[in-house]
Amino acid sequence: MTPQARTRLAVVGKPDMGKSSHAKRLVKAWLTRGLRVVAVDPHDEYSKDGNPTRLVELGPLRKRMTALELARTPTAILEPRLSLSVVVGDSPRSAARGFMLVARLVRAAEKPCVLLVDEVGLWTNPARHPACHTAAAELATVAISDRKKGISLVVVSQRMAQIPSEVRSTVTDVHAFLQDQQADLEALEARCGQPFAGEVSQLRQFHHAAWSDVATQQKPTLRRVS
Amino acid sequence: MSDVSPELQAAALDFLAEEAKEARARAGAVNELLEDAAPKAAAGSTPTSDGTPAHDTHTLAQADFRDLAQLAWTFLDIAAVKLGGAHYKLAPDELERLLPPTEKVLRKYLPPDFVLSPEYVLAGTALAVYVPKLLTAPSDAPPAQGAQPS
Repeated sequence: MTPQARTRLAVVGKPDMGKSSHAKRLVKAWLTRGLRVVAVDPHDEYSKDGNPTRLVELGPLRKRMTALELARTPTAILEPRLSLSVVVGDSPRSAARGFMLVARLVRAAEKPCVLLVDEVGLWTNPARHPACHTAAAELATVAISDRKKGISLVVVSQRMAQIPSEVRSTVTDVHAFLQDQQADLEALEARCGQPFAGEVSQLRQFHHAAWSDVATQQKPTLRRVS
Repeated sequence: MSDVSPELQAAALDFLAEEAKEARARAGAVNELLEDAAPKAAAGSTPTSDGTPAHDTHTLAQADFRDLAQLAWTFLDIAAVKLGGAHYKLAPDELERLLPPTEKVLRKYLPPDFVLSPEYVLAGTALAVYVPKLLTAPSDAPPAQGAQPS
């Protein structure tokens, strides 16, 4: 899929189901098409220079900066061929604050881009840190208001229910790997309908189902991710 | 950041200000910990549950000396009483009071990996308390001062 300004894509799936690899493949395809991409990257895995582990393949983004580095040189967000992973740390506080920085910079830059936010469930629970509440509100603002600024939003989460409800209601596309908890299936059903939620609950590892609001009448498609 | 738009600049500065605030708070917390730890470090390491500072050879040696002195004093006390011809009887809590110093002394002179069971401790205490009692014959003399007649 090629994201448009109105695109609000949710990639959801339990750990080790292929969700991150799928998101990285999407990013690679978008970069090939010349789109500007910035990722909020708690686990430092979306750039070529990320933190390599045996379990995670690194993503295709060309540049990697910490949130602090980006705050010191915010002009990095203005690059014409933006391909940036912003490493925000994987604590709720640092991830929430890092996301808010990137979201505000992307908005201020006023240039079309794809904003990918990984592991939103890490910081959307306000009980974890006061900054999480503000960050969740910021995410909703991006989802609702920033499409006119040409910002496409991609949220990656282990669980559909962890995506704030204001954001879920704006989602235009869902790529779902296996979800088996009742709350997640209910959230999927509320947005995508019961047949899609039913398909998602039956998925095998590395398989995902894709849903788009422009094709709600179509049967959900299953695709194998190699 | 002179060529940066005001919005971009504001977002970056807000983040930096917040991080600086957090860093100051963390530094303050670390300073408090250091200030708390400084007197303890000056006085020795953290005391153990029985009040003896650990990892401090000077203080440990003093404690051992106290224990040894206590045992030696008890030994001499009993021996003196017995040699004086009186029967020695332990005060109600005397054995319990003697067990901890016995354990410390045994631990001091036994190999570090030696498993010191309660039996060893009791045997050590008995050695200090009862051997003199057994070695000295009872007599009909009146009890010595500080000792209780049996």
